[in-house]
Amino acid sequence: MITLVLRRLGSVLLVMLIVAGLSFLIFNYLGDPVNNILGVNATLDERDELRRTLGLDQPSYIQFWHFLERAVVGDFGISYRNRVPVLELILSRLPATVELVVCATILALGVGIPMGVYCALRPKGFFSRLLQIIALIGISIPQFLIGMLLILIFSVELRWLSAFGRGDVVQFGWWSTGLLTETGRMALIMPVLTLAVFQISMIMRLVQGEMQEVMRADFIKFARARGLSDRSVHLRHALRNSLLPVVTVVGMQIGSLIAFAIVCEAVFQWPGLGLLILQAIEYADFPVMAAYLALVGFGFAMINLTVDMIYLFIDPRMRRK
Amino acid sequence: MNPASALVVRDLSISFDSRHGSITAIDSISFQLAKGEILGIVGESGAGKSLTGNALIGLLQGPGRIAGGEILLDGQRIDNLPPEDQRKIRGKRIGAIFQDPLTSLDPLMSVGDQLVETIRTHLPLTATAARGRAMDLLAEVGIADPAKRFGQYPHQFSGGMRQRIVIALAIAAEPEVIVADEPTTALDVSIQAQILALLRRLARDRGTAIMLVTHDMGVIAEIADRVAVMYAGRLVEIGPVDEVLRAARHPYAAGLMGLIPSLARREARLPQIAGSMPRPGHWPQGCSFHPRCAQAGPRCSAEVPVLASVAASTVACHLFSGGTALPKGT
Amino acid sequence: MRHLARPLILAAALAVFGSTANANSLRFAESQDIASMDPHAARDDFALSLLCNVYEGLVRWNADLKLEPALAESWEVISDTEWKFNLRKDVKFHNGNPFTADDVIFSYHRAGDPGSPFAGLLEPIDEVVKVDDYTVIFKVNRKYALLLNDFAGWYIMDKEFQESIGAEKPLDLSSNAGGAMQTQANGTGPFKLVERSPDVKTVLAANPDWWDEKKHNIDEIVYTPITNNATRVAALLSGEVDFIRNAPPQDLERIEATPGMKVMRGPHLRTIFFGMDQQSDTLAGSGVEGNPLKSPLVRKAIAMAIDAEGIMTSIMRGNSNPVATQLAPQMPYYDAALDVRFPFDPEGAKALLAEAGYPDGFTLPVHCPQGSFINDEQICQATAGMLAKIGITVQLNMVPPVQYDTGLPGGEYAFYMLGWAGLPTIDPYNIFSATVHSPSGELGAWNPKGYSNPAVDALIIKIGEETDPAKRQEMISEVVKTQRDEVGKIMIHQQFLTWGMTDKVNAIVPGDEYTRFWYYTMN
Repeated sequence: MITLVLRRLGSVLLVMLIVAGLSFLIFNYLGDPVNNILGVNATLDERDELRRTLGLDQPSYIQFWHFLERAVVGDFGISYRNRVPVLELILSRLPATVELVVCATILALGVGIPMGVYCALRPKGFFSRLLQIIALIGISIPQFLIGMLLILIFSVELRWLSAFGRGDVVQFGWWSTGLLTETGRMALIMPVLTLAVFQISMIMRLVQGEMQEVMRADFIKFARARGLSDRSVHLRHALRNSLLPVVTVVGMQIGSLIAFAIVCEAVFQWPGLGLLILQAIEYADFPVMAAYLALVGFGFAMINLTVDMIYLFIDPRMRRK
Repeated sequence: MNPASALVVRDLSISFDSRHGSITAIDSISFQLAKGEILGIVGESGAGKSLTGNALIGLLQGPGRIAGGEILLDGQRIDNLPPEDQRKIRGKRIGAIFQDPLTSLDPLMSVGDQLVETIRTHLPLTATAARGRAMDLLAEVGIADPAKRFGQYPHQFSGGMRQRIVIALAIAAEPEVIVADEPTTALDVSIQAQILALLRRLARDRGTAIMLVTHDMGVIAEIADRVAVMYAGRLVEIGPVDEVLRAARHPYAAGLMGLIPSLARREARLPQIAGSMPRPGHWPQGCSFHPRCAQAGPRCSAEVPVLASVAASTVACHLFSGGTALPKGT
Repeated sequence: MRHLARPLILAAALAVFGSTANANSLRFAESQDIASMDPHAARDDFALSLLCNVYEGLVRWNADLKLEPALAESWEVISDTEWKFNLRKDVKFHNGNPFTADDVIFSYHRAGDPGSPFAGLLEPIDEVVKVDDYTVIFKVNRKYALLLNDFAGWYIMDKEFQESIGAEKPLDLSSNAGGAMQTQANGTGPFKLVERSPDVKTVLAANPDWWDEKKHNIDEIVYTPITNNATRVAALLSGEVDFIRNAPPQDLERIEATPGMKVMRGPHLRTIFFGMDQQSDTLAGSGVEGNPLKSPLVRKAIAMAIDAEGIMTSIMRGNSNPVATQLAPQMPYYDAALDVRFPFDPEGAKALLAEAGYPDGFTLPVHCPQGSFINDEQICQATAGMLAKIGITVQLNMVPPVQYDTGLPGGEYAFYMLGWAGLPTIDPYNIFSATVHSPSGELGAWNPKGYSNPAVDALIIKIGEETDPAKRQEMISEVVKTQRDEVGKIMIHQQFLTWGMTDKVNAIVPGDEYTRFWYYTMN
């Protein structure tokens, strides 16, 4: 177990290294931050001077090496745009995104799994068919559109919810949370819903499919023959066995939620990492981009590790002596 | 009715409803199962053996339904009970053992937990008491070191061991009847004998009635007290195992017994009879075996033969009922 | 890290649904946040257009874009190279510090020292001499006409405060010091910073000790960046904000149709045009010998093929003004007599092409920014269609602004869209020196390989030096006319500003896009 974790952490580092390295290679094609830093009226000399100061006149691999040198001691440089240390900047935006993604995941699981179970048990019922149609729509509509529709309905027409922002947040050290305030919780509703719709639909369909498959398995028939209650057969045996592939897919989905969150954060002006990276790209804020990409690589790898751990937890066949 | 009968099946019919109407898969079969008796049900695949077994444990699937007749457990009719009452009988009064022990157990739950779960579903025991009983059951079915094995998962057991656990699960609540559907088919030959011995012991020691569904005549020869032969949804012959094995009357049964592999040389399976068994919905008129029967006469294609006693057995064949297809002795 | 030490803080309410007290709160949304509260951090008109409410220069632009005294009460030109400024005496910074000559000198060095973004702006100044606490003399290195214009965009900061927070330098990307100006500001302007959460919210409050007579009635400005156009409009329509600058063109009708909402329009100083490579001997990818763009006939043909009126009606929905010169009508020294476009005449254009030796046309690679100017992509696409009609096949390349702003001055584009407003100087000299003068040194940075006429170059230098308005007018008109006649640029139009707001807000919409909140009132 410990070996597995250590081996995984090793590959995590490698992933981060490769991602950061690749990001330096593509920086050359993303434009020049110097214009943004100095403004359009800056003179050529001023631009060249700054380019030298920032080391942008050097080849990518040298820049990357300098990045690594500083990164190992936790220094990811200073954001060109925000003019604060990148690590501090990212940490300050991280809570908003984590809160969004975690809430969306909980919602997706909390709604998607029961819906999937229901549809698996009564695949021909009217309500099941309705849910399946809704799921199909949920998978088909672009997230951007869902967000705008919600805003049009709940902000513009009904004026119940705020179209943008995170509401009031409470600060615990560097962590900020909107869960403890009324406005913060209200502000979460639409972004979380927007982010979760696709996931709900997907998890529902996945659980339904898997569970229908498992329900045909011998051990389910045997569980019935043992006289177990429907509840026990469905939830303790059928659902648990259906969840293995769901865990994998959900793990990957949480990863992709980080990516989806970019769109969602842009729509709702959610002050998280997604908005930060959008602005960083627009500004050619390389230090932020490199750190963000490395962090996302780290996040993906950690999610994979967690998925493996969960697998070990729920599937005894995976455990080896 | 024999008061010692654990299970009575009377005129049981099973139909499948489809868009094109109802198709009869089991046509009015009747048999009894005495306490402590092992009744073998044999026949080719599709004869309706497993369907009958499923009907007994109340797990007919999909569009299949009991279309007629009744099933009595210890004199009480159970086939028309509400689903929840049927469930309470399953596992508690009628146990089941399925063919493949590899797939019968939930791979994600320790065998001990599966036992405790089953026990506590049917018996008002505390968790600790149920655990003790589970250990006893494991010991009874021949699992060494139950305390250690209790927390292990199905994949940590061999096939034979798993079937022992399945049996332990089946007898967890001391049922009167066990329906064992091909319990040894998936096992190695050497293991088969052990499992059969275990079943034999259960029937003898506990007085459990066992309905053993199989297409393996060797298994029948090994442990059954009586044997029932099914063909195309009908019982064609039922009688003491020695008599049927030695001198089956029904031409199909006789053909079936033509070559009985012993457990030692069981490479031969059901001996081939020319032609194949018709599927439900395609049964011919009269005796459904007549197209394949060398002794069939004109009556056979017109009239369904009814069961009639012949010596200790009961046979459904015009050859043995009143007006014969052919003169006796020919 | 500073954050870690921070105790539990409850952020102040966002005041989402209506302002809390009776106070007049102007909730203002914009597509992006300003990068910093530091007015010297970048020569970035977007940031300065907001920071002008917090900081002030020695002079400032008024509502009509005329220069007026601000932190300097008066000034006199002592000689060609010496300007004396008498500073206002009753001015206090927001933290209570008095404003003195030391702050002016500090701000000069902070903004103008080598390596600072404003070094180019303040480059004519050699030295600032303190005469007394309220008098300074600027020594300039040449006769220079635009000192006052430049000073309107150079804001004065508090020496003592900047030193106390370790932000003596505006651009310090190697240490953490720059971050101090993320959330702090200490100016002299009509509004002071009370709360700032970068990229989330910035709250300004009226400065009760402002030296000038207060005409506005705004108590508080809550500024929220909302990146997504549709969300920003939704925020206005839902009543969550009162004011959005630059309402997207496609949403104007919707805003105007909503009860209680209005769109205020105004001409922008920015004119949009195509610049092009007139120096290279070949035009890569054109499929013809030589560089057709070197020929004035070809350039004129292109100009005559573009239907600016059509672009105005079909793409800009009326929110533009076709122009013939780079000077918008609101720009000082605008000469209406010269603002006459070549006629829209595809047939005539074809004839000109044939006359220039390209009867079968050629292929023209065009670069176009994605989102730098209003409807830039659609205009480029429409242009491609129009040029196709005279036989020029346009090969269109859309480029994100961050790359565009590198590629264009780098001379990578043969034919490109550009807009120039002459900010913050608000003088033709700024436009000419950046986009008309031949590329050389600091001049012509946005005219790479472009229009080049030594006579015009010489005039531009003189325009920068001449202070007499009549003489300047003459020279400026000469430059405009020459460039127009030689088709140095292919002009399209002047953009209009379209600001959406609730009826409660009375704004002014100046051509430089600055939000001068001290002129605003709320009902």
